[in-house]
Amino acid sequence: MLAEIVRFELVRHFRAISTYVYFLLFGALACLLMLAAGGEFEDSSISFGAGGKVLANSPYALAQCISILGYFGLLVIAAITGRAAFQDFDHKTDSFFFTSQAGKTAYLGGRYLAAVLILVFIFSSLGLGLFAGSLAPDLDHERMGPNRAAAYLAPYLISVIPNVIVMGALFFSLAALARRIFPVYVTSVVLLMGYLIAGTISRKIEHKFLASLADPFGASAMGFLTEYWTISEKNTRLVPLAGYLLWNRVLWLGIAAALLGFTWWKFRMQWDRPSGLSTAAVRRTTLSYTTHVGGPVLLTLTWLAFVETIKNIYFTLIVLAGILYMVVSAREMGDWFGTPTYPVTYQVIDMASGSFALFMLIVITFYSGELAWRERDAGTHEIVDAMPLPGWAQFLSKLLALLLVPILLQGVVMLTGMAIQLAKGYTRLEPLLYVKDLFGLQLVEFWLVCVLAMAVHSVVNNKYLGHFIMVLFYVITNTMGKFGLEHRLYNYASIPDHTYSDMNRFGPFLRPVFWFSAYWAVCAVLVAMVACLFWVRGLAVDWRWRLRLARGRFRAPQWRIAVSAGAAFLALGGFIFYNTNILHHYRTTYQSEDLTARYEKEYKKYLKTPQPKIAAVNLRVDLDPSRADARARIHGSYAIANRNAQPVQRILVTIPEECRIHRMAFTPAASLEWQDRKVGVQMYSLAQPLAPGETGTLEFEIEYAPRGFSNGDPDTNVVENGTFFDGDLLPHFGYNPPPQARSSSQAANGGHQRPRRPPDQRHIAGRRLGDFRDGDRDGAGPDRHRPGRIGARVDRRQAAPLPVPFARQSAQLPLRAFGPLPRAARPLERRRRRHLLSSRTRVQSGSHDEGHEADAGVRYEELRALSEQDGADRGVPSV
Amino acid sequence: MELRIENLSKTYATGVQALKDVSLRIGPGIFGLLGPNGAGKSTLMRILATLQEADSGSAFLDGIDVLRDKDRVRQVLGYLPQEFGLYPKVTAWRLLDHFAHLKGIVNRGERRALVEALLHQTNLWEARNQRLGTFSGGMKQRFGIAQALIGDPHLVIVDEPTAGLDPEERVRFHNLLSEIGEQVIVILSTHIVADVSDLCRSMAIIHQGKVLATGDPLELARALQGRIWQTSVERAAAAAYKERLPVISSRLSAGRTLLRVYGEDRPGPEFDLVEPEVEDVYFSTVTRPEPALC
Repeated sequence: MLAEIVRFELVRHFRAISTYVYFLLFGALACLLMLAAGGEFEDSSISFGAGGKVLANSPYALAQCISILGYFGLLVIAAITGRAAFQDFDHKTDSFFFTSQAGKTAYLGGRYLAAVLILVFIFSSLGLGLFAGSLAPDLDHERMGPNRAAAYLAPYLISVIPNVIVMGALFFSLAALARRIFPVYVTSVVLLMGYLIAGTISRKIEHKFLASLADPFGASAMGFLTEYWTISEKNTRLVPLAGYLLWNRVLWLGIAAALLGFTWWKFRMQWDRPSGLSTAAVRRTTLSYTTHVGGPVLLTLTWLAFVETIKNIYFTLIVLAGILYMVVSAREMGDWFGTPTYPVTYQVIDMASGSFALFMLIVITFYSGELAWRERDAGTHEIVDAMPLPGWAQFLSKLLALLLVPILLQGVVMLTGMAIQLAKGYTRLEPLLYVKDLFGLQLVEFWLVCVLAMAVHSVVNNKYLGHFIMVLFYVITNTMGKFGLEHRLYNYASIPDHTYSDMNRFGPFLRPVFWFSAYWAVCAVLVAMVACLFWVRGLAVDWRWRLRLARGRFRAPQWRIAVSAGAAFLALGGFIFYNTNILHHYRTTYQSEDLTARYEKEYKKYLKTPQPKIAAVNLRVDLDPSRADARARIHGSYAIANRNAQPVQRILVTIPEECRIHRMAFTPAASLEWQDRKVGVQMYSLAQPLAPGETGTLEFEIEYAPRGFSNGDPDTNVVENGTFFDGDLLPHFGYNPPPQARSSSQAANGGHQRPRRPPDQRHIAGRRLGDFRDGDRDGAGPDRHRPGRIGARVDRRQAAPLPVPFARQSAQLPLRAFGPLPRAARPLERRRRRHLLSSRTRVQSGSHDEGHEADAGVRYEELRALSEQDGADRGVPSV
Repeated sequence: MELRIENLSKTYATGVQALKDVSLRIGPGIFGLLGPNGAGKSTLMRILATLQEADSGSAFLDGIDVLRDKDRVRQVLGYLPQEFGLYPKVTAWRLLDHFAHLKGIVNRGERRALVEALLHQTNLWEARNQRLGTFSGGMKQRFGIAQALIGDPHLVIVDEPTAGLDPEERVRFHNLLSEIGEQVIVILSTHIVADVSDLCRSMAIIHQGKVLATGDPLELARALQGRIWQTSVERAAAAAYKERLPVISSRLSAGRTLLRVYGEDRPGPEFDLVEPEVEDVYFSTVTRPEPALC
């Protein structure tokens, strides 16, 4: 009996297209990853958490890759095991099975077993895809070792199959006991996304044994097991089923068995139709049609759909979980390197919306599907579709209802944020700032996702596949950068981050945000229109019919929308491209690392070339922050001295590419021998060598004037209030080695290997405080942080000695004491995850000023800084 | 062979009492279960089909305790639910074969012969390789019947089976049912009186969870002999009659309203005594709480 059920299910799955879609999808993904890790694509920086000299097809890398991909397969596990238990309730075939002689054991066991088998089949494409990728002819041979069958199979034993069994048991039990599929999907996405968060938390757990047991996927157990492996071990040893990993697997398989047992015990082969819910939907959706069709009906429909979405226990639960998460995150706030800070509004907004974004996306993803399928799930679609209502009204009402959801949720974020502020005894709420940031800037991005989600469900016309595609979209937008696809012009709904500061407001961040928002908004109009054209009404679900219908729906108004939105899309795209790529420099991470590599390769030979030292500096800096392209003009003179034993003949000068050079005059006279502007290097040769002990001068005039706007972070060196830049913009002498981590791998591989490093923007000149996390990763110690100084600058270049160690700053700081808070506190900035889509947000420092007037005039500052000692300590490398 | 139901009661969590102390004795042949929608028919059927629990009472099929010994009931049961679906992407043959296997017919050759016979019997042979998603309502219903007949069931329960069938299919289905009904117990639940009067040798009328009448339909009708009166009046005048007299049914005929009235004596000179029909039994039972007929 059990065998027959398994057989029937397997045949059913093998005749379903979705099985092969999943199979090919995972296979293709795995193959792509292998190609990327094997060095097939120039611009990619992928390595399976291994990096360095760990080979792309080493047992360790394969184990990592298969586990991670298998983990994204969680949604497929949910779909297949959940449906295995739910399908009879869905198709109303339950009474046939319950009155048959197949007992509970055969019924549940057969379904579960078949689901596990089919999942193993689907995930077998991971290994096959990786293997296929490793056979590509033009891979980088240094990245590839010999292929071993065991290395491909072992991950299945330690990771994929146990995970299928464990997670499958969870979803199967949920669906079997709830007799509904929705809890399964909510659980799967909460697990998937929650795991991303929990990954960082679990690393903080002191006790490794507990941490490794707590992770149902076994990833942290595998991490602990292999953390002290050498590179050669990683390249040759199979990850064994031992130690932490063994205990983890035993524990979770035990839990799975217990779950299945519980389900077997609780499950009853009985008639039990959930009632009430579906009939409520029937009654509501078929109400309230009049003979007039148009605006009022659209509004009514929208409102009904919206109310049905939010009046729902799952919705409430998700939102409550989000609020809880915000509150928990708030406990971390208000402390920066031991310095207490006020919970100022921009900080709270950042924290609250950053932690809630995940839940927002979960809600959008799910409820887009629920909205699209509401009538069909309730079985009323034939009635509703026969109503005298234009097709666009149906789609549009659902879309509008979905667009209302983020508004409601942003309201929740705002109230929670204010409550957090009040709870911390901070009363200077800034409602207007909340509104501007949450509803003005952030909402656009969520709306864009809403449009995409509804469109996917409309076009794909399969709820489960639709959910899967949406998650795939999130994964892709977050990993595109790793493949060198960093431009926002082709990353849907990608809008630059913005940073609010109390000093500078939104400063220079608004301009790119505005243009990119407009660009994607018109794109969304096109997307929505396509979705409208392909919206399934009635029972015409096959593609031939749908195409014919779509063609029929494409009439004059649609033409007009398509043409005008298309034109606007191209125009805006062109404008943005002109700004980011022509006026501004656009470089991918790979390209900018390439420049660093080039700097090292070409100019390292000058490391021992005697260079003069800067003995004294005299600067006059004109700041002109009022215009859109803020600029600074720097007139300066250095007193230089030769402290070497040899004479100085040639001077290697570094001036960043962003600076225009107006004048460079050495005394004694020197002439420009050659220059490499991309790297920012010039070589001067002195007419008369500077003898040891001799001194001279350098008079220069350079202008820092970035044009256009950046695809990444805006240039924030010169802003209305809070200008800060340091010696990076000034000329300095000699070769400065870039940070060691980078140089070793690149030198070893001739710049071919992609070092393992999070994609950092090239435009680090404008880096502000709060970059310490990246800095830490570069291996520099905490002594680099200089908390407590406005504008104190920390960035990863500091791992190399600063060429000219002083900073320029200019701001108006009407400091103002307020509030009864006992602590001497100053808001400082920190960086947080804001959206999943756009990874980071940076906050600029500021004080609690209010209503100060931005000083638009030219500022003139003169400073004689820098003692000779300073220069000697931290300046040019001495020989 | 006898199905004996005693004092069966069932109350839903919502407080609706679906069955109140139902007792029935059902022998071989087609047994009609007649009642308006929501009378408790489906609840009774589902309890007999092992899909629902009763709160109290008992049911025995020749020594099999229907309420407890579910596995043994399922071995001899054929059940066609009122509401069911089918896997849209599977062919009729494959699904029927699967069901046959689940019914316990393990031998492949036997199963094949059985499935073939059933598909012929239900006139689905031509469509055997079609996907079930493409089936019309009637075909779906016939498929449901085919699966209910797998493996010579002793107890066949069919819940509102002729809903959605065209007249021809309905006749064919009736023939099929009466063919089976010669040897086994068939319980047919319906609200169509004609189905019962055409097919059944015994019946029960259920209303609001209670059995109001049981017996041979013809005998029940005969018991009303001399008490059913009919007249034909203008449509406008019908309301006045309904207020004054115990009208059990009124229907239109050639533009005028035919009223049938229950009464010991002639209600008025315009009324004629008529031959009682099963429909009169049904309406007089359901519309008048008293007196119960037995």
